[in-house]
Amino acid sequence: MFNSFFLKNFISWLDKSSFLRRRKTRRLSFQFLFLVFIALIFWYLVSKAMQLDLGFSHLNSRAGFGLSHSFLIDYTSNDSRWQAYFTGVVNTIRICSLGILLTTILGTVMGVVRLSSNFLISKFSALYIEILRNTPLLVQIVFWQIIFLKLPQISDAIIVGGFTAISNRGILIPWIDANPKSEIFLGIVLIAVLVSIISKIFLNRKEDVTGQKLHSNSVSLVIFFVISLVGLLGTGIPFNWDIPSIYQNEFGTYMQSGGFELSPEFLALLFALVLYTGTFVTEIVRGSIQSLPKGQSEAAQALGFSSYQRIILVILPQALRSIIPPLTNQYLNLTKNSSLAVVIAYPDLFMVSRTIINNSGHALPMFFVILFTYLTLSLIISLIMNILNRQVTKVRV
Amino acid sequence: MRLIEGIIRDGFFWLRENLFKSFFNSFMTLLSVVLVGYLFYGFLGFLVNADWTVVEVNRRLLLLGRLPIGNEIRGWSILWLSLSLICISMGIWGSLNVKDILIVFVISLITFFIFGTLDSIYLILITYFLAFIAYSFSTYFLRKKYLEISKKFLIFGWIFIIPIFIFILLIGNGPSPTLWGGFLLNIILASVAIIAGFPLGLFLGLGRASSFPVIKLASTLYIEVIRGAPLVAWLLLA
Repeated sequence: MFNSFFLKNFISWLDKSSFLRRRKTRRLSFQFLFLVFIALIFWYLVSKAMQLDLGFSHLNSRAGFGLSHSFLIDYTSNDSRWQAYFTGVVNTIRICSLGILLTTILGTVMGVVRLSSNFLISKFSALYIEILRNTPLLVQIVFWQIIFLKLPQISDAIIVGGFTAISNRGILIPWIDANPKSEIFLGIVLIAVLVSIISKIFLNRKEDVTGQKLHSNSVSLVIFFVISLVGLLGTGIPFNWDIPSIYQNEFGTYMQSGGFELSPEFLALLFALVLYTGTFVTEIVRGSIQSLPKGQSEAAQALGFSSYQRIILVILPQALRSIIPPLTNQYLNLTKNSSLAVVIAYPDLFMVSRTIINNSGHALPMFFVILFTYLTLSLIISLIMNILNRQVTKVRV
Repeated sequence: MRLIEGIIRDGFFWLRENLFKSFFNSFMTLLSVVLVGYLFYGFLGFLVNADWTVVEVNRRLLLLGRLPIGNEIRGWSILWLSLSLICISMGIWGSLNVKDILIVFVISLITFFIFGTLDSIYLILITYFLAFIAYSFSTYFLRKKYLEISKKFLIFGWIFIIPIFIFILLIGNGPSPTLWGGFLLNIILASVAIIAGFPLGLFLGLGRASSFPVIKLASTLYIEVIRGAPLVAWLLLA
């Protein structure tokens, strides 16, 4: 009796109702269900992961493997696994920073060339894009590795001008060696930079106030060079040239020493990354230039700018606004693609952590470290590019 | 005579306009002629002098991987099926001209020259015949009369092509998936990734733009984490 009465009332309440039909309730319940679903998946994964060892303590033990490239960090196989990992991180940063720099230059030049009125070089750029963009990066890396290993053996290395040695062990280029005076010289250069920046700011202010043209850029450059030159002459010669040499030791084996060594692996990875990412940057630059109104270019021509001035002063600064966001993406791609170094055994952070995983058997914690490192690198690049973007888009056109 | 003079004059005009407009322009032209000539000469020399037997011997391995002998017809039927689908789609949606068709024809001829054998000459002829029939059938018949309905059928065909591929590979005591390989596996993986990736991307994109905060957060997190690490790292984890 009571029961049916209650049920009747409840049903009629549901029917009219305000509560279940309300939009907010439905939204909340749907989201709650989704959250439960995600939580279930997550709980399953975590319970699986808990069966494994999740500690990072194994990274403090001895690494026990050598690395063919170490830069800035002196790494030996007796160091800890952390040390090995950081060597890998430094190697990744080295290839990425150099790669990003060269890619930008190559992409900009090729993008401008693609739009040239010269039939031949425009088609040359198009050929470059179509061939290198449509072949896998992995194949290109292996290709360049084969090319650099096909260079002559060290016994008949090519010596260019007496200071660069090219062989299949890599390319040795002359480098500078610090001596006691170089610290003083570096200090003087630092002072020169500061002085020139201050003078530029000062001159700019004065120019704003008086309206006179004071050439702040050239004046500050001259100041910088004069101070550095004085420092250079004052300290004598602050650096020693480190010129590579190839010699035979007492057993008749050829050895190489000195200079800065660019190994075949490093060069292969650099070439492949730069040429591959360069095609995308080329297309970005071309697209951005073409998206400008044609009147800009024609107006520059009408004002009597030379073609060089037209590109540097009118076209590129405006194109930069639409270049930078997609360019950031390409930089991030380059950074992530550098992990393909694993196929030619260039010890970047991914290859080193793979070796650590194989040696220790603790895959999951190492994987989080990899994820975290790449995320950090990506965020740093994004941050720098966002700052640049803000600078560029400050002035409204 | 006058015609020839005109052609020569036009040619010179084109050369001056496009290649030798200014001193710098001419310099760049000569430079790129030298560069392209050097690269082309090197490439040609490589083509002639290289030892191509390694490709000739491993043709089967490159195309089919470790697929057991006697199962080639499965690969061929997949090629025919996807080719007819591509040709019909081109006929329905595309607007090809003779030049495009000629380029595709030449490229496929080169491919068959490299990878084809004497035994497979009939199969190659069937392939061309099928492509021709499919393209002309769709252009001159389907497009004219049944445009809307054939569009719908084609979309369904593209969606169901992966199950059909796998069905063809497995039907009647077919080889196990561990034996699939070579270019065949490339095609299967690529089509699976493309066709399965699109709806996933659609849902994630809608989720990211959603007004439900939970769903928005979840899809943003998924996108940023997966995109943050390189592909090889995910392959390692799998």
